[in-house]
This record gives sequence, C-alpha cells and structure tokens, in this order.
Amino acid sequence: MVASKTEKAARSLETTKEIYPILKEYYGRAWRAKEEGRLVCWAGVGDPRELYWVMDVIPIFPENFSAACGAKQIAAQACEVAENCGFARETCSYFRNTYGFMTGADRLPLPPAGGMPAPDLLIIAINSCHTRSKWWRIMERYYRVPTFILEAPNIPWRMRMNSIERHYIDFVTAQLKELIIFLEKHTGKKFSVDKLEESIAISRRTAKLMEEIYSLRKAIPCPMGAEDMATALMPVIVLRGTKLAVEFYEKLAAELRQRVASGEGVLNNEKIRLLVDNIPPWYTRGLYNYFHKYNAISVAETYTTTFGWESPMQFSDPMENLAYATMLNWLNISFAEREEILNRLVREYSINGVIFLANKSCKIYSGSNMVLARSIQEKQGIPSLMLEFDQTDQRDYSDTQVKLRIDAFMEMLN
Amino acid sequence: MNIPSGPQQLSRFTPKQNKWLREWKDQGKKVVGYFCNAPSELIWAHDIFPVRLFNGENQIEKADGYFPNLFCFYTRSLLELALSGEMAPLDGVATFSMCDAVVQMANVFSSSISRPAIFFISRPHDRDIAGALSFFKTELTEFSAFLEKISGVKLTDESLRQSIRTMNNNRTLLKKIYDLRGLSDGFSLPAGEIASITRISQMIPPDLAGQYLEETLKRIQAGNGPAGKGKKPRIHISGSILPDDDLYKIIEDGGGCVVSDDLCTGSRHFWRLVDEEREPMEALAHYYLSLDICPHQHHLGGEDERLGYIMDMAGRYRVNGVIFCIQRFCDPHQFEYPYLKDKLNAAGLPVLALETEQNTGMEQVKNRVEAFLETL
Repeated sequence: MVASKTEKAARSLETTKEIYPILKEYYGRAWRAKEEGRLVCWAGVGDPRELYWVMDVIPIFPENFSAACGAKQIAAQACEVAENCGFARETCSYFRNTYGFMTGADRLPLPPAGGMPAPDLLIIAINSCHTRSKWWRIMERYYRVPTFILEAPNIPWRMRMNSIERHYIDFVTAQLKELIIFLEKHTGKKFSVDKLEESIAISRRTAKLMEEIYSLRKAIPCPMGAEDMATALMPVIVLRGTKLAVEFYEKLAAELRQRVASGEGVLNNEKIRLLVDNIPPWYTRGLYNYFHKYNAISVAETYTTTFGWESPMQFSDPMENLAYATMLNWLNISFAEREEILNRLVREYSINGVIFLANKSCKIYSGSNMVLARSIQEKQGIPSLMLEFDQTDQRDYSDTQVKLRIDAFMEMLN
Repeated sequence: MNIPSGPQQLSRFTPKQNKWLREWKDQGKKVVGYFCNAPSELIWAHDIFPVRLFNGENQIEKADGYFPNLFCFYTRSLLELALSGEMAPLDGVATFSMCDAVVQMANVFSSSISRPAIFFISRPHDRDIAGALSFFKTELTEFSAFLEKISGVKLTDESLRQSIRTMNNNRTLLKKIYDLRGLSDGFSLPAGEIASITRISQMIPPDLAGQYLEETLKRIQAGNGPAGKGKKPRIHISGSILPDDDLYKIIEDGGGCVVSDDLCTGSRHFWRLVDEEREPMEALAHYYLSLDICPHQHHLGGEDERLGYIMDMAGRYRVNGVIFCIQRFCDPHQFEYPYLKDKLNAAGLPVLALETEQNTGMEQVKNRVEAFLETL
C-alpha cells in the first residue's frame, strides 16, 4: 500500500499551541486516576460531561483518541486489526481504530499520550449515530465493566431545537436521573446538585465565549481558520464544564479580539471564504492550509458549531440544561433545520463556497450533503464541492486527487 | 377485491403498480406506506391500508443526486422509487427511527419529495431504559393523530383490538407456513416462493391478507410432498433484507434447501404476537419497543437474544449451516456479525457470510455458496 501524502496543519494563533500540552496533561491525569481513587470512564463526545466532574470520574473519549491516532498517522493500522477480526471496512473508523488498540495494542505503534487507560465504566449518550451504542456493547463484552447507554431521540423535522416537544425532554431527563444513580452506585460518591450548578455555570460561560469566538470569525479578513479551530475545539469536547476550558477560551477570545481590532487576518489578501462540512480529516489537517494557496480560508465549519452552541445552559433547572445539551447536536437535528442553519451561516459568514467532506465513516453526517448543497445553490447561488474522505483511516485518501478537485473548484470561484 | 391467486414469483410491485392499492383507493379510502416495523395495527385501526415498502429492482440513478453512495441498497432503492413517482399513490408514509440509514433517508424524502407526507415516529432503541415506554406511547398517540387527519376516522379501543387480532392472525398463519417448510424433509415450494408469499401478505389489505394466507396454507398442505426426499443441507439465512430472491435459487441449485431465516422481510416480522390481553395501545407500545432480535436495538443482551433466536430456529428446523446475508453499508448487522459468527461456530454451526448490494457478482456468490454447501 503506497501511503498518500498527508500534511500537518500550520496554525496561525498563539493560543492553539497550548492544546497539545493540555491534552497530554489530561491523559496523564487519567493514567493516574486509579492511584488517586478516581474511576476512569470511557465516554462519548456528546455526553452530559458536567456529571462526570461532579461525580469525580475521569472521562476519556475513544472518539477523541481515534482522532488523535489519525493525527499521529497510526489509525489505519489499528483499523486493519478490527477488519481482520471480521468487521467490515465500511464501519466507522473511530470504532475500528479503538477496537484495534483494545484487542491488538501490542502489535501497533505507541498511541498518542500513552493511549487510554482501561475503563472502569463505559458510558455514552447516543445523540448522533447508533453505531456508537453497538460499539459500546462490544467494549462492554470485552472489558466486562458497568455500562450505561443513554439515548437522546432524533429531533424530527416537525420540531426545531427551540420547539422540542415536552415528552422528548422528559425522556432524556428520566435517563439522566438514572445515570446519576448509576454513577453514585459505582463511584460510592454522593451526587451534589450544587456541584452540578457550578459546573453548568462554567459550561454556560464556555458557551458564551465560543459564541463570541464564532462571531469574531465573521470578520473580514477572518482572524482564525479551520486549521486552528479544529484543534481549538478540544477543550470544549473533553473538558466542557471545567475551569480549564473557560481559561483556554478566554485566552482564545482575547487573541481574536485583538486580531480583529487590528484588522489582522490569517491571510494578507483574503479573497475566498469557505464553509467546510463534516469531521476534519485528522491525518491531514494541512488540507485547510492548502486553501490558502488560493487566498481562500475556511471561516466556518458545521463540525465546530456542534460543540459550543449545543450547550448554552440557558435554563434555571440543571437537569433541563443537561437534557437540552444532550439532545442538541448538528447530527441530531433534521435536515430541514440543517438547511436553515447552513443557509444562515452562509449569509452571516459571507461564504463564497462550501466544501462537503463526504466522510465514509460518518454516514449520518454525510447523508445531508446533497440536500444541503442543493439548498444553498438554489437559495443563494452558492456552489459546493464534494470530496471523499475518511475521518481517521487514511488508506482511502488520495492527496493528488483531492487537491486537483480543490484546484478546479477554486478556479471556478475566482 | 380478489386475493392474489397462484404462486406469485415476482412480487415486487411498487405502490404505483399495486392493483389492490388502486382498488382500495377507488373506494375513496386511504393508504399509508411504511418501511420496517411501523405499527401497522394502528394504521389499519384508522381504516387506512398499511402497505409495507420494499426495495425495487431498478438501477439507482436519480437517488445518487440526493443521497450519497454510503448507504445500503435498501434505502437508496426506496428513495429511487419515490423520486420516480412510484410512491405517489400513498397518502402518507410512516417511518420509525429504526436504523441511521432509514432516518437519513427519511430526512432526504422529507426535504426533496413533496408528497407523500412522512410521519416520523421516534422509537427508543433500549426497551429497558428509564422513560422509554412512556415516551414511546406519546409518540404513538401523535402518530394516531396524524392518521386520523388522513382518514378522518377516529381510533377506538375496539377498532384497535380488532386490528391487533387481524395482524396477529396473519402472523400466526405465516408462522404455520414456516413450520410446514421447516419441519418437513421434502418441502414442495421453493424458498423464493415463501419469501414472495410473506411479501405479498404485507402489500395487500390485512383482512384480505388473512384470507390469502389461509388459502395458501391449505394449498401448501395439500401439495406437500412425502417426507424424506433425501439429505439436503438445511440452511438458515440471517440478515436484514435480501435485495432480490437470487440467493434462494443459488442455494437450491447448489443442492441445499432454505428452512428458516431471521430476516427483516422474513420471520422477524411475524414471529412474536402482540399481547391481546393488555390495553391495546400499551400492548402495541410494548411490542414495538421490544423488537428484541433486531440488531439496531442496543439493550443489554440483544446480541445474545438474537443468537438464542437463531439457535432455536436451528434446533427446531434441524439447520446444518447459517448463511449471513448482509447489505453493504449496513452498520447494525455488520457490528453484530463477528460475535454471532464466533458463537455459532462454537455451537457447531458452520457460517458463511455474504455481502450484498444490487448486482453483487453472482458468479462469485454461487461459487462460495456451493463450496459452503459441500462442506455441510
């Protein structure tokens, strides 16, 4: 197999340099957890993370881990291990990568940050795809640890995020209460609603900061591209509800305010503003820098909006806040709502073109590609480009082909 | 309205081609289509003809412009049919939050096709989780309101009970047909015909389907050949939806016989009955929440329940080997397969896995099936 060329992202911001140390320190904390009397829980990136901090559990995210393995260029080998065990190559590469390291780590290169310490608990909120629930059951069989799977129902197209019917919220709340009981049982610690309120207040502050950060990216020229944003998401994904996340985003917002005030963009001669859809290609985020060749920059991404706007925590009832935060997700809303949001983003960010990464591993992300492309073309005359990818398994990535298609698209936009 | 007569080998008529649908609508009545396990009892109780939607046999062309090539043939074919106007006679479509592919496809439908109107029923995937039953009952109540708008017929306790009895009767008859096949040594009908009968019974009005199945049962009983026609390898087929009936023919031509299945279009659709003792809405909610043997459910122990189901079938029908027929891109089945394979092998049952999509290389499938049958 001849590996296609891949490129690291070249970042523009000072603040994003802090991400790798934060990640490393966090994984280190997870490895020390047992000595410190804490349980390690393998969790999902859409989970009500505040509960973990309240119950003093350290969540580690296989999805985040698999993204990091992609960045380290080792996910493909781990995926092969899973395929050799009988899993189809079309299954999610986050799953295949995790499965590979779970069952065959001794045959694989060293994973980033020492890898994930074995779980004491397995928890996940299903608020995007249902392959994650099957994945968690597979891990449950392997590790034989207590497992909790919560389900946030799909938001049907007769509803919008601000008009979710009561029984949907009640259903999620009922499960959240069960989750608290589960956590109390296995940690031996008592749940504290005051601690939850504290953590939620922190998440509320984080959400406000992210709102400001996204707003600052509307500036022309754009002060921050996807090459920085994709990395800068890490604190809200892994550390939502903690002071560390707030501190990071306060720094980031400050840096962006300063850049916008002085008219400093990523590009000196910004000509084309792009919106990119889908999960970043973790093994070649340098692709976002490739756009710069054409004085083009990704100023907004549907992926980044998934983390931040979903958890405004605007209610007074903490459980209501968690229920909404667990339900709201780009991947859990209807295509009708995706169309509305995408069209709004195209207008607000002065978008010239949209790039859809048709991610083989994330069917529920890619499913809306054509519907959305058609919508923005019909409603606003904005063209789209479809590129085939996988999020973390680089075997199917063809750098030459992808760049040729980007070249043609850019020429058309110019 | 006449019941279908004789062996209906090619029974993939679309709603547009469905003459029973046409006759029903000529009476001024309404039809609602459904994909998988939508509560057809509820539809029928509103005096609406529930018709199950199966994939077509056309090449996918239009659908490629609306839905990426990352989804199973079943969903893409349904979209193709809709875009080609084949679903136009339907007054509505009911969709469950079954698997991700169906949810995505239903979204595309809703965004891209003006009619028929789709109603989305959210169905929890873990029957044991807190709040699931209560949530789902509310969803069913809303679905009932949608149906009432379509037919103008109000739901009553009695109409729902009657509807449940009708559907249960059809399920029982299908089970009897499966028993006739599975318990015999020399069954007279090819497996493709049994598949056809099962399909047709879900594409004609349910009361007519009951008559059809009664007649069919009598016909089969009368025509069933003597037992002990020779030792053929007895096969159980496991999977979701077969895109066509070619596999049955390949198995039979290769000297084997299909004696059972756990397919969405097969036994999974009718093996269990709705509880007629319970309050009917409650009974329906409970039934459709507990589709235990379907891989898109994720309650604890689901895979073992499915394994148990296959093993029960294997014992009941003296199965020699299991052929998994998994649609390409079908996540729920692909995630469960390795575990089931290992367990079945450990229990002494040989397993063959085939991946299907439209126009799967038939020669290759033939060779693999024949080689597998020879080992049994």
